[in-house]
Amino acid sequence: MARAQSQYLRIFSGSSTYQRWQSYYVNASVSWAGASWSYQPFDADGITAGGVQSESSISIRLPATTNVIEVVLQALDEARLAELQFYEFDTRLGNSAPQTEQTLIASYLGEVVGVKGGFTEIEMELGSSLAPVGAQVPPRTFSSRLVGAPCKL
Amino acid sequence: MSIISSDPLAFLIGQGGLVGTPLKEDGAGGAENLDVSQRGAVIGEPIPIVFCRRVDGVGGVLISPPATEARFSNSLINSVTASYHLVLSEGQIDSIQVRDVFQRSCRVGSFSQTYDKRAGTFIPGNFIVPRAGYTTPECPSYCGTGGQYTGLSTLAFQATYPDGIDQWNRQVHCFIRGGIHVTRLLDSTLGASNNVVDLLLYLLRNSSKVPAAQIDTASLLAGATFTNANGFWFNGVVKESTNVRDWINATLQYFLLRQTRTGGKEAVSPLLPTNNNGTIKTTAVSWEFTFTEEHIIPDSFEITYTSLADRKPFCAMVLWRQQDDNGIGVIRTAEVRYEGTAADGPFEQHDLSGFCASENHAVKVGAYILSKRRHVTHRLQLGVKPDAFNATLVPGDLVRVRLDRIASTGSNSRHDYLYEVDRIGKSLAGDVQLELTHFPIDAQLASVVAKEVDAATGAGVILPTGLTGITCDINSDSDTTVPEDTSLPPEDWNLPDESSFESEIVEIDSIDTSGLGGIDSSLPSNWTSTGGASENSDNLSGQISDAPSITPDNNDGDYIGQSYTLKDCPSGCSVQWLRDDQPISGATGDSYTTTTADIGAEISSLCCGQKAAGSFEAGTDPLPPPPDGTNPNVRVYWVAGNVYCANPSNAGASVDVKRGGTCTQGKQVYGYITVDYSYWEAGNVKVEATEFDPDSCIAYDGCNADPSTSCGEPFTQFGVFYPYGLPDVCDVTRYRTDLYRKISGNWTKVSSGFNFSYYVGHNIPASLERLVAVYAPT
Repeated sequence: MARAQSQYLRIFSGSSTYQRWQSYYVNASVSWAGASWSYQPFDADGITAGGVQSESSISIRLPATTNVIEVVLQALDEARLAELQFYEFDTRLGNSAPQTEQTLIASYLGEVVGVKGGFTEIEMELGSSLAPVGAQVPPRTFSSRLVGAPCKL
Repeated sequence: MSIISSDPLAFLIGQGGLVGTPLKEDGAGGAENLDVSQRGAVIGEPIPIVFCRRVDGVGGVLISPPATEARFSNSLINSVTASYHLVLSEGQIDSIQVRDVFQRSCRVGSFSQTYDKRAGTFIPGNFIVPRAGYTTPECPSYCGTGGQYTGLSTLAFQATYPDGIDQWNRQVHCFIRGGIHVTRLLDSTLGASNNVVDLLLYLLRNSSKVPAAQIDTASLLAGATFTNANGFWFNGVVKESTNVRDWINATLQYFLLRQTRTGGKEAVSPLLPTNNNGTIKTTAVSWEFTFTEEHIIPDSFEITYTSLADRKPFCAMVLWRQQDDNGIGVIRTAEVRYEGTAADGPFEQHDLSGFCASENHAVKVGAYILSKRRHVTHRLQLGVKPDAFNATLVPGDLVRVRLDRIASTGSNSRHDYLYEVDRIGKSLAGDVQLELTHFPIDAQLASVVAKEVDAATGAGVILPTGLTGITCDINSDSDTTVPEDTSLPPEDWNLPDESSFESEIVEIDSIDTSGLGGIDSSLPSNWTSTGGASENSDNLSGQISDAPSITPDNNDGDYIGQSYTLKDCPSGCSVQWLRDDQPISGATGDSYTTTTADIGAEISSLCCGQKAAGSFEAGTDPLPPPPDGTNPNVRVYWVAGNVYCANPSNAGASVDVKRGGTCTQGKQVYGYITVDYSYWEAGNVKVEATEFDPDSCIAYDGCNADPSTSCGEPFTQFGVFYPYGLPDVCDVTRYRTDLYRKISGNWTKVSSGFNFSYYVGHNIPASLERLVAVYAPT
């Protein structure tokens, strides 16, 4: 088997999809899963799954073009989700368009929780809004608006 | 060797009357100290989440809510009536029955419970007055103000005590049988729940705002089924401020659940194999995949055995809470150990009393800890090649690793064990790193740990709390009625609202900075506000100008009459153009057009007193340079024009719509061409407009043949033409305008021709002004 992997990245929120990118078919838009995926030369870390503490977020590196910067910053500001999927396929059966037989080998869905990078490359961090620091439980605290100025007993 | 459980307090049963006293006072520590002063709420402290559901005599929790408001008054005989407004929980909880409200450990007083607003009707304050012959009670004088109480369950409590009984300031306790209402996973019903997975889901959504797409609901449902089927219920209060991850890790393990993140989704899975109905599976297990030599990447096999010191026998002391129907819990301890081991320790304590109201739950947790420690002998790390497992394997799955160990000496052996997947790492190269934990099974392929946990049960001894001996109850311990909600609607209270808070905000503009010494609070005069900020809108591009400069920025083709513009000079800055570094009189605008006085001089510009980048040497060529790609002998001469609509019957006299407007169908159109160019001598230029079709010349008029005679000098307008008689005036019609120049006394057509378009019946954009160009030869 001439094995190859293709990556697909979808940025979405609820039922709205804002971007579909793929990084395998150079300078081509391909159809897959009922949608068109445009070419974007990105790459990503490996994907891990495990306990909450053991799993790290993943990073996706993209070229720092105006369009990409705009997309990722909007995703960051609006806490959009990004779904990264790895597919494996046999290049001998075709290498110009996604094969219907290709196998999903990994999938990761994360919230865009960080963006950093250099002038030519930008890195989008996908993770969880479960912040590792800070206290979030219970979610509400006594405030003046809620309870006024409490009595002193 | 089996796991057994015992409880030291069970011996108290045989001690008769000694039992009552310690349990009566504090529920042996099962509840917070009952006889303490009523505590007040503190701004900034977390609002507790009461999460419980009493089912079949198990569950519920006693809470000691803080007060936000109070009222004290005394009667003529100096009996003190104390009222407290209490915050019970975040969210809406079940209605509280009369029998479930205590002050100290006594069922006294009356109350009114509500949600999302202030409870009761009492006005806070100290209304204690001296009564003749009595000692004036010393009640607190600051009794609080009203609040919105949005999304909170509240309760107004009131009790009256005779003179001399200083118990009006004692803590109020409530036994909650049904806590915060959530949509239960198992029956999709909104109501109180005792399932920890419901609580987890609530916290994920409300504390961390985890999007629904990132929550693996199917796994949560499986987890909820598991905890419910095995009686692992949560009956407690979430009140300590903590990190949600820490809470998850500290809590879920005691429900024999693990939280995982698979594919980025928050998920849970039982720590034990389960049957379809969620019960612990004690029969043969199956595994998802078998790894053999052909799957494993060479040299990636790494095994770590657990030291014997970590596997030595110990006694797990698991604390839980006996929660009787009378409301006041009793802390119990289940000592779980392998029979015949660790009778004198070592002891390992696990406190589940905050949420566990079931002895069996506590014992099974202890059994799980013991059994894992005893039977799990090693952990394994593997690097494996990609294969069919790749897409389906998730943490918690069982896999089998079967490898033959062939030695040059001695007999061959086989490494053949079941493992539980702890962690999966998939690299871009395709290899997969697995972290596995030994999963011990017996000869029937059943999980050893599961069987031991399933078999472990508590002694089932229920201790009397001694509360039946309490005689201070005013209300009946069997009064299950719920008092009426007498609360007023929020609009009837003088409560702080959004606007009143806003009014306290000091406007930045009004801050007096005059006393700030050397700090200059004013902005430079040439700075301007960029308006309201938005997220990620502070890209300097387009908001803060680049350094001022002159454009065009080169000397190529400079000619007299060319216009230069100072760009990026901040608004408000003074501008002064310079000729050989000397100010040019009157040249203080953003643009400057060279004149014959500039020939050979260097022209530059000042912006706020600073020289702008770039300068140019004014050329001597009197004509503009040719546009790119055109005949070098043709030069741009003017670029202006307007399009008007007019009534054809009164053309030129009645202009209906000017540029930017819309020509009405049926109206005539005319236009004129404006020239603002003083270089060419007057009387030497004229323009003719013709229909694009050269065979049908259209009359033109305007300033006659010699515009200078009718339009003045320098001519600012000439060549006005009226294309009357157009066959289709409201269609797109194209015109050609030719430029004539008087050369040696003769009119010579010098233009190469150009097009002029009217868009009648459509919006006329201002850009049409630039559609006209005249080319003249050098």
